[in-house]
Amino acid sequence: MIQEIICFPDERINIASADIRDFDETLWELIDDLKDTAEAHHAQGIAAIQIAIPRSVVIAKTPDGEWVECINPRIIKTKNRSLSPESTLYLPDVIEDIPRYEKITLIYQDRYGTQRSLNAEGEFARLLQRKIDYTFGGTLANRLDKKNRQRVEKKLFAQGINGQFNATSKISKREYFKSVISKLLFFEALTWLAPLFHASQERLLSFWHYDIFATAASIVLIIGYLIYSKFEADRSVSCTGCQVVSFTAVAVKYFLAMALFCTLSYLVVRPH
Amino acid sequence: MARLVVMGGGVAGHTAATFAKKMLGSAHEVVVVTPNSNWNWIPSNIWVGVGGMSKEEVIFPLAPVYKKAGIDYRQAKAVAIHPEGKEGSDTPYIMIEYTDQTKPGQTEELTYDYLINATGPKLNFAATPGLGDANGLGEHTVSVCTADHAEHAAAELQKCIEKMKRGEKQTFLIGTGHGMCTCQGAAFEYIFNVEHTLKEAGVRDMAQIIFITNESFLGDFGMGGIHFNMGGFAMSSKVFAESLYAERGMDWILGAHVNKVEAGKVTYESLDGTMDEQTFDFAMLIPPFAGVGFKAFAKDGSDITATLFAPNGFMKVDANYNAGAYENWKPSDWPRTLQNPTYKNIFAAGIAFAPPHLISKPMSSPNGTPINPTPPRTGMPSAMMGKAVTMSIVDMIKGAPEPTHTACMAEMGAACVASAGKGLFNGTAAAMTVYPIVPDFETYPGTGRNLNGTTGELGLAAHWVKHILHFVFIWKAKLRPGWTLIPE
Repeated sequence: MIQEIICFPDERINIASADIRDFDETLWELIDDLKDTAEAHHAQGIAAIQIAIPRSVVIAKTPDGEWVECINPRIIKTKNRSLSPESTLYLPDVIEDIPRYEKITLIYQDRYGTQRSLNAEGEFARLLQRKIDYTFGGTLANRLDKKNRQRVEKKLFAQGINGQFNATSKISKREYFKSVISKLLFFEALTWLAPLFHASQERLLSFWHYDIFATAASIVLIIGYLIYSKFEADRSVSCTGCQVVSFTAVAVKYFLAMALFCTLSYLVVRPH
Repeated sequence: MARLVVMGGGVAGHTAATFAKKMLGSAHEVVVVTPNSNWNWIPSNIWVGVGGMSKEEVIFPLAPVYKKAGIDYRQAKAVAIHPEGKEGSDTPYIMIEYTDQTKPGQTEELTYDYLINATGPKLNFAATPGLGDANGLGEHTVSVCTADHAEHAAAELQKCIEKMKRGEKQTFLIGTGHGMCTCQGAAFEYIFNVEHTLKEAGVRDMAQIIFITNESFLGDFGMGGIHFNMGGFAMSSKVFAESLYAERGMDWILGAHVNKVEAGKVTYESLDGTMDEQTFDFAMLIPPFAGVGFKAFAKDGSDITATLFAPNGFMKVDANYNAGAYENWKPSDWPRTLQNPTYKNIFAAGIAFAPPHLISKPMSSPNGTPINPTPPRTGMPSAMMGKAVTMSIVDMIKGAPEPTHTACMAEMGAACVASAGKGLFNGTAAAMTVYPIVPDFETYPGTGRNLNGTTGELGLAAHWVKHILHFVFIWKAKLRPGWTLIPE
């Protein structure tokens, strides 16, 4: 049956596909759906996650036009990296130069679970690499550097598609604490520019009041961050040690930044 | 008065012994039997291995710490367990052989009421011809598994750096020395530290750096990969690791079972069944782990080693060892109380317990050679197990009929911090936590992991974390003030 293909900015593409453990009718139906869907879209290959099924299944057309069904595929050997233009159904109308290997060796299981290997080169090898990236939760965009990734985002935005690569709604809430502290400190830093514009004493005083507020709020937020992080770490049974040290280190980093900013504000902004 | 004997003084054993003494006080006896005179914070051996830390910074002598804590410390290795006692006595005992200077080779029968096996792994260098033999590390490669090995590795690395400064190109091969290794994380971390060190020495352009591993994809880590949130972005450990390697111009060989090491060359079998060779000037290959190889005897003197231990030498505990094929694996196969099913007063913790099966997908080459990472159970999980086992034993000494505490790897998260560089500002690190270690396909369909408990942090803060951990855990192990407050 033809299934709907998920397209940018659908975030489900980032879900890592689980290895297939049962080689039964469910798998065979999935393979049939993948073939129907790929044929309908004139695609040379498709990964199961492209129809929103997070299972490690890839089908691809060999240079002879035969479908090869790769279950739990892994690339174990690679040769010669080169750049060449690629496109994918997930990102309509995007063609980008992507670094890929020209020759690869793949191991995979067939629909009955028997382990097989295959050597691929050229376009076929590139196709398999692109599809296998999907099974590990990576898209073509992960192979681009940050600058090019943003360029593609902008291009898609111009087409009316608004989204972000790899954005995830599962962001830990403690990130919000960090984000607010960063913003407070950023505006505090802006007040240092005031003396350059010969701001009046009253204006400086109000800036200095903001700086005091930002410092106090940062302290409260850092404490809040620590308490919340501990709460979050405790929810994951026995996942403690490194988490505690990890968020303590982050808190110390912000605390040092806050102290430095406060000192500078005291020297630069506070009206004398 | 009950006597608890702890075999092994590593992460699990030391944690178990120190907590037991603290909880039991002077009313009961705690004995530690370990052949080593020093405690070693193993994660920092990575830094010793590139010359960033001295051996002395990662070890400390155990005797004064145990003396202060009131723990009876025997520098000896346990050789046999007699869980039923001997003729004329029902008291179980272990046979120990002293390794300290004063009475080397002397043996003694040490009776126990409760026994914790926390002996860790035997570094099985002999498994791969040329990697080493029964006596340990061979002549062609280096290792960072012990502080001494790491010191040797740093000296060899320095020699290569000198050669490169004279204009000789060098090939560095770092990874696993057998198809059934665990601890890919250590090799992963070491390769980044080597790369960092070569860059600092200004000879990076003279070096080819290659990672060789039994994992079927980069970033498997023996846990079937990790998928985590990093700075608000979803990231798979494969994509993450590949980009880290590619950025640094390092190559990788996957699905490799190193089956022979010679001077300057390894031969390996790949998952597709082909045989290949790789030359090297410097190789750090991690050996596979095995149990330390105890014997166990019944009251009548008959050998009951197979009752107590799995064929690989690790101790049998309350796990399901008959789980069968991959598709039938369940989180409930994993042990919870770590109690031996036959002898209820024997427990195992850390690497010493026999896992029911792999965590990663099992794989083998068409020739039938298994090539897959074995389950990691070092570091934090080890310490958690040591503590849980101790708390159960303390309760049992006080009258509980059954173990009261559990430490199950299917309900436990793990954290790993992989760091490169040692300076205050010029280091970087990736801190990852994964929950649970053993994927639970029933609770978390698909990957078997809870994405909300799985996070990653990259950068300077994570690098500091690793440094702080070094001092925090050595502080804790030395039983300095407040040590009980420091989490595992």
